[in-house]
Amino acid sequence: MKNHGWTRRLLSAALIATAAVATFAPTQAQENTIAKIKARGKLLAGVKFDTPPFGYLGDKNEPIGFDIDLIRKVAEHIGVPVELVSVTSTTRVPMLVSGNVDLTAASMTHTRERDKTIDFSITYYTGGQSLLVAKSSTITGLKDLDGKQVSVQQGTTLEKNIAATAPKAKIVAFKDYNSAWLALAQGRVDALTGSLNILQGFANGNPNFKIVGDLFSVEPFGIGVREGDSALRDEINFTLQDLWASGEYTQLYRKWFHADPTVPIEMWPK
Amino acid sequence: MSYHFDWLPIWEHRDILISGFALTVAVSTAALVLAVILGTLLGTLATAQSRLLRLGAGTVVECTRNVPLLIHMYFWYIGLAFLRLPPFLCAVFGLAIYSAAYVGEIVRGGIDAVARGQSQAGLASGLTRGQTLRLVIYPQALRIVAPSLTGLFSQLIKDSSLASVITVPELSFAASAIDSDTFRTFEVYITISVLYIVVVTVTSNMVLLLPGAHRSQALLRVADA
Repeated sequence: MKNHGWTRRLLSAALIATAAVATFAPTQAQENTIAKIKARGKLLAGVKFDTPPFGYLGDKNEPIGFDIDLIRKVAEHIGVPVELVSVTSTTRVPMLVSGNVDLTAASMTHTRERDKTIDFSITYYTGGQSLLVAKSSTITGLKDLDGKQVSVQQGTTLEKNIAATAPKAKIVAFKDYNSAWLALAQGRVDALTGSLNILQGFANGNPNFKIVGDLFSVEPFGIGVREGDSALRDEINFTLQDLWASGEYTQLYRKWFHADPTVPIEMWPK
Repeated sequence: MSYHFDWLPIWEHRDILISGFALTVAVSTAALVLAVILGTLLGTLATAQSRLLRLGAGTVVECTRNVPLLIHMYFWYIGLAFLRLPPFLCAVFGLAIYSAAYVGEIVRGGIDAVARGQSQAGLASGLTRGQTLRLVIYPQALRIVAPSLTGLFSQLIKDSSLASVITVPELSFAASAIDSDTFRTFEVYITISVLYIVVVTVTSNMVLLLPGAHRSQALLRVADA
């Protein structure tokens, strides 16, 4: 009898713990997020703080970047101010799923695998993967990576791509871009792989490094929303299309990438 | 609105978890052995008669203990990047030296707790200083410090998770990798928490293997905790 009570107590404790875990982890956003955002009075946006020029800390320690400018426009469209929340490659999906942010604009490639867990906006940027090496390096492309150490961010499509295209390279995975970059800067690794524009962000104003080789992947970036959150997804898509139509998208693109957009935003008729 | 638990993806990635678990055990064991050796040395020096030695040991302990473990890790991995030490060694060194400072303090306390008459009697009976330490002081001190050391060991095992930031694919790194692959965040972190609980509990109970432990109330308390 005594034993029974003990088992029951343990069981109920386990149930309470499970319930506690379950409550703060909704997988699906069935209620209207737009209404929730308006009631709250701000849009919670997950962005990178370590990935120039998409989302990083500027000279005044203020988060700036292409992703962030786009998100400010989305918030303007909804009619609320935006609160930026720092996410990394490994936390950007969990933070969204757990409801800590309403959306993530975190230089995230739209993959089928991720699409099973969250929903994506239309493609707002198309990137390609490249390599950054020290100026004095003999590496000229993927073919020279055999036995070399390449730093990359953990949990990214970049990590999968480099493993597939340079199977003999030794992949060193970091939790954030800054550490991966620091490893290259300190000579811990032989190359850093990432999206071309992000690598340009690191290489800019740093004559000791160079970008080498051809692009070896296509990375369509999308803004993530919770699975089934079509109200917010529509809001984002319409904002992106309005920005393209008004020419503001091109201005922002030039501002951050010093070039004209190569892939237009997909447009839907009124 | 409820979270649906799905443990299948965790099972499918069991090979990553197993190798991560093995690496956690390996990093912890290597660091633990090194920490005990260094810590015993530091603790003994801290009780030396020479003021200079005592001061030296004290300075090393303070400087090591008062720097966050993360910075110890970065020091070996990034600070000494030109040496290109394997990440595993960087983690072991960082963890061992950081923990050695704590072991040192525990050992110093243990030696101080052995009655002064014991060492005087040892020396009077013709033992050398080294023999007195080894045959008279250490065996008694060990019994005194074992509970605190056990606590420190379990701390060290949990601390080994910081090795994940310097790319050592131990248990926490494995969890993060599986998480970003499957997005089963809760399942994967619950799984590794259970694994940590198992390995720390086993370690805590190892203190019972000490000779005479079953007679010591203090040790039994640690094993129960």
